[in-house]
Amino acid sequence: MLENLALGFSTAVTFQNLGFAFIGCLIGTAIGVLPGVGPVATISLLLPLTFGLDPITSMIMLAGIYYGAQYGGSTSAILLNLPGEVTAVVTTLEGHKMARAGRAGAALAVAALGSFFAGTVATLVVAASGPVLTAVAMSFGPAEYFSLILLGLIAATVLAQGSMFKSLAMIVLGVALGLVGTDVQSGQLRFTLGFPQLFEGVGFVPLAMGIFGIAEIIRNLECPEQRSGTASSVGKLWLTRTEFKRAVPSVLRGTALGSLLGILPGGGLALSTFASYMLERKVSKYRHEFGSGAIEGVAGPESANNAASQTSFIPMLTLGLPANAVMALMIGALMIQGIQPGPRMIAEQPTLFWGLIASMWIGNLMLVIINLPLVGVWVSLLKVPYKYLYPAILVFCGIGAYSINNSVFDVYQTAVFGLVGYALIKLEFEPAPLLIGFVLGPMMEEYLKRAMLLSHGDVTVFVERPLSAVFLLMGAIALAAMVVPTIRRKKDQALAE
Amino acid sequence: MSSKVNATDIASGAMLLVLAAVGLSINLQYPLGTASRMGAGYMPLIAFVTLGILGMGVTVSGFRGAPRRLENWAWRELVLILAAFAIFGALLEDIGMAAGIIAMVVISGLADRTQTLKGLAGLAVVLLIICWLVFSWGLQIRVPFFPPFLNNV
Repeated sequence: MLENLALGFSTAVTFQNLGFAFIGCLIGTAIGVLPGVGPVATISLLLPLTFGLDPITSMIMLAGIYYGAQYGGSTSAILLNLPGEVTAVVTTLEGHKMARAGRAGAALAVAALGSFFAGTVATLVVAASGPVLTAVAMSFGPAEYFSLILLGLIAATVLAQGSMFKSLAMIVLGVALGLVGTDVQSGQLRFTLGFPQLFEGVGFVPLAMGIFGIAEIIRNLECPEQRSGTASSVGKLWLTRTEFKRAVPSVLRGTALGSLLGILPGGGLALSTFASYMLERKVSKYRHEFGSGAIEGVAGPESANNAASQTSFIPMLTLGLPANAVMALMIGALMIQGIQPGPRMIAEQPTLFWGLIASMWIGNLMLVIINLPLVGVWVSLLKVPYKYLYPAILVFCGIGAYSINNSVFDVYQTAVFGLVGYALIKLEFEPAPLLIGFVLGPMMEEYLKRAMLLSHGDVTVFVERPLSAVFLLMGAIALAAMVVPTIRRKKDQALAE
Repeated sequence: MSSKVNATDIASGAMLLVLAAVGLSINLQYPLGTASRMGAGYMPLIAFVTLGILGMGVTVSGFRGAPRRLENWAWRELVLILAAFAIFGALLEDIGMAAGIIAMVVISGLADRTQTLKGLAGLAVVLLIICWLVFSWGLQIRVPFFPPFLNNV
């Protein structure tokens, strides 16, 4: 493992790569800190920036953007009480209370340091388990892959808020959107509506940018009260000795919990932060302080979140399956670079595989190095009024959408998906599963076709192969669990809290 | 719609059913093939039938769930933002990035009533400078910055 990591670091640590990791972290945080812009939106907005680079550099920059965006989200959650996405909701609970009490600096510091520690541990977990899981994955046939993808798609809806039918429908809609374009096997054009620009399928970036970026802007303009707020002052940016002592066990617990839960497909990220918060509230000696700014309530979930976002790379790197919307974006970026993530990547492109793992750690390190000293800059960014931000974001989106293929059609596509995204918000659909379905749909079709070809059209192949049967069974259990009312209510309560 | 039903879910279900029907009708032109040799239309058939079933599920749950009215749409913001984006695209290649940026800022600016002329002008100038530096000078994007016809004058 150490040899492999050394290979990774020798790939990742070049002057150019470090530079791009730095830039990625910087702009990732700068966009992620903006109120109402979560990590998914941030990454989809910034994706086009990485396309001109070679694969490893672009992945390193993306990793920087990813961690930057997440930390930026925590910053606005702590200082403004404005979570950019579900995982940051937990951070607001104790983090913003700490900020109100004048300890914003401590909350930001513990979030950064806890995340760094969790990231380091989780990187090692990824490095250790990657090759093992890859070996397992190599024994998968098309039937196993199909069942696993089906399980992943179902799992992606388990933690989604609201109606089960609606989240499943989003998945299927995503799969349907993924069908647009040329059928790989027969060369048949499907659902292109006569647009030659759609022969290669619906654009991934226009889809993500439209649904997460443009639609959110319209939404934010509509509800001005949700984006206003006064940033608390940061105060002293260091932990006192007692705060440090209190945070350490929480960080350790959060790291363990996050590393484990992050591997789960679907809601691993959100689940790990909630679970960590619940755990801290149960076991902490200072549980009476919870609700009024307990440092454990920031340290645990923030570490869990970062550990989970790290280990959620495991299913993506070993199986090529995204565990959440961010991973779907990462896979989209890799595929635009001409790389198909999956079990063969580790053997065929070891430098990329290990370079990526090393770059995760570098991204985490960059975060500590640039974010703590620059926290003043982020605070001032929080003070830029939204009315100046959104036209700027729109301009960058427009140029970004155009620059992927130098095609105005992609700009129009983005606008159309902006409309779609807004309609989905209004109809109370959750858009994240759609993106996962869009990425996994074409793979699912491919494996289904191959499995059925090998079995001469016999569907029982999916239950006759033991691993495949296990995946299907797990999927069925997940579906059944969502239908059972008591579990549903518990889940809704946990998500609503 | 009356407020006795969950109108949001019924509208959602109806949308899914329409999408499924449109998808299935387009899918008629593609060969289905057989289970062992699936044609281009096989997977879409599965997907859209599933979508239709889920659409029915959502519709039915709309009649059974707690009453809920449809949310109002922010038409003004929606139209202005999407129009700004589309016009930006239309101007980009032929008239240049500068014109696109100005159009985007002005039109999208109308969506927020608290904007001032001075603020928007300042924002446009700042964005013009940044975009010229980053995209035209730095990344050397293929689109012209200033309107090309100015070169011929």
